[in-house]
Amino acid sequence: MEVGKRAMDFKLRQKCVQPVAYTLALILLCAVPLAFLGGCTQRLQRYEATYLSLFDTVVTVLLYAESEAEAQQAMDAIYSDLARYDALFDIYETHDGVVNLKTVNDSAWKQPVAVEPELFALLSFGKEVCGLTEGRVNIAFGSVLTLWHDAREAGIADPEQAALPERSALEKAAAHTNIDDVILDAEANTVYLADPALQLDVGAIGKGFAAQLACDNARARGVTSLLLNLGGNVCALGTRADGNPWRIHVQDPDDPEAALATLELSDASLVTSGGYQRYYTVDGFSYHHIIDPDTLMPANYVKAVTVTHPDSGLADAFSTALFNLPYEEGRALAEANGVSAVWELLDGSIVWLRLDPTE
Amino acid sequence: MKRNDLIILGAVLAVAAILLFALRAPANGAGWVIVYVHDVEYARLPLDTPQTITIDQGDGKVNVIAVFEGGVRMQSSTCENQLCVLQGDVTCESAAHAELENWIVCLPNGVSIELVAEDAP
Repeated sequence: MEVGKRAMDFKLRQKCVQPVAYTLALILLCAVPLAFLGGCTQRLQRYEATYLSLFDTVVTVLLYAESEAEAQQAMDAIYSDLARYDALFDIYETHDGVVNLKTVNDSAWKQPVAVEPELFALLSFGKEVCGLTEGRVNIAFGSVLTLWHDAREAGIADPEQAALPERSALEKAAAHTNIDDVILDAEANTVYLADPALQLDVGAIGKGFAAQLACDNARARGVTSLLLNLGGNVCALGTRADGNPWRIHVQDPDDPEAALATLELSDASLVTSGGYQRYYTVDGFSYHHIIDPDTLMPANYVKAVTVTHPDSGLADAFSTALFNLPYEEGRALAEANGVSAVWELLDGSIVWLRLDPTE
Repeated sequence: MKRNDLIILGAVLAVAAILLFALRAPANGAGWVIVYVHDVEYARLPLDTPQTITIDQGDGKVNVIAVFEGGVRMQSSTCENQLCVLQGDVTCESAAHAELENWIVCLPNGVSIELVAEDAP
């Protein structure tokens, strides 16, 4: 009754409205809901999550979705993808029911081992990257990296007894790092290690490769706006919901509170390599985790280097490669491979290649 | 134009203006701090109420989080690398600058802090 009466009142009043004013009012009435939609993007809400149980690092997922249920579903799917890759690419632990990289290291020198398609793809990518980076990134370097890893872990646990790996042990291990001894059979999806002392370590490419796979899968599931951060490997799908590129801070190695630069990113990845994150101290000197394949010691050419590339796996690989090279040689390699980069050199100066600081 | 038309026009304009203002205006640092322990939400604190919370996990892992007006910091942590403490203040202003800057994470102790500004893009 009440409602019907009001509607009638409104109809009666409408009759008194002049055509011009009526049109104006209509336009304005239409403008109100349009302002709400803000060009259809405001309906998308921002959702974020962090996970501390993946890849031994901090994983942050930032995505836009229309509802919390949709966001949750997308997050769960991304998490389960990443958990799968984390298990597959793990060289330290075996996981129930999966043939992972540890299984390969333990047994692929006896006979070829069949692996999951994603692990096979990672190893093929690793071989390709070794060529692209002229050996600066080599997944067959596991025996050397394990010596450094063990010395670092022991040194962090017991700083008094911290020591460098034995030089003789490093040199002995370096004799078993030939990438051609990693034999892949694409027909059978198998890996064979022709050198029994060779060990695989995908530390320089695994996170980037996993981030790219997870982003590609999310895109296939309909996610249009996603930022995935695997401990500093930042992979961007699309842009922010408002159409602006994602803005990412590049950390200043000398000041954790300050940003060296802010870079804009859309459908691309950003990875920083620096010696300031994983390191340990021996006799007052710090030794980080990125090992120069020539000297078998932590690389000491530049302070830090950040690269961007449309492919997250390549961004990851090239950031390590450039960190493992003197600036001039790294720049030449980056230019030859379409990699954008910003270096912080040992004297603190900043050099840009195909990138612009936004401020 | 009759007087009634002007009233309707005026009312519509006013509503449009108010809505536009409400939608565009920044929320002046309003929001929450969400604390997670091992990826599970542990506390949700309003940004306009300064307070300090201590998370003692009972196994020697202790984190102290300070919420101040418009921001949050990890006051102290028992972790070995102290990266979370060194990160300093995270405010609505600093977080608005770039993506992923609204988190403080203590990986060794499994504590993460998310700053959710109400006007996040």
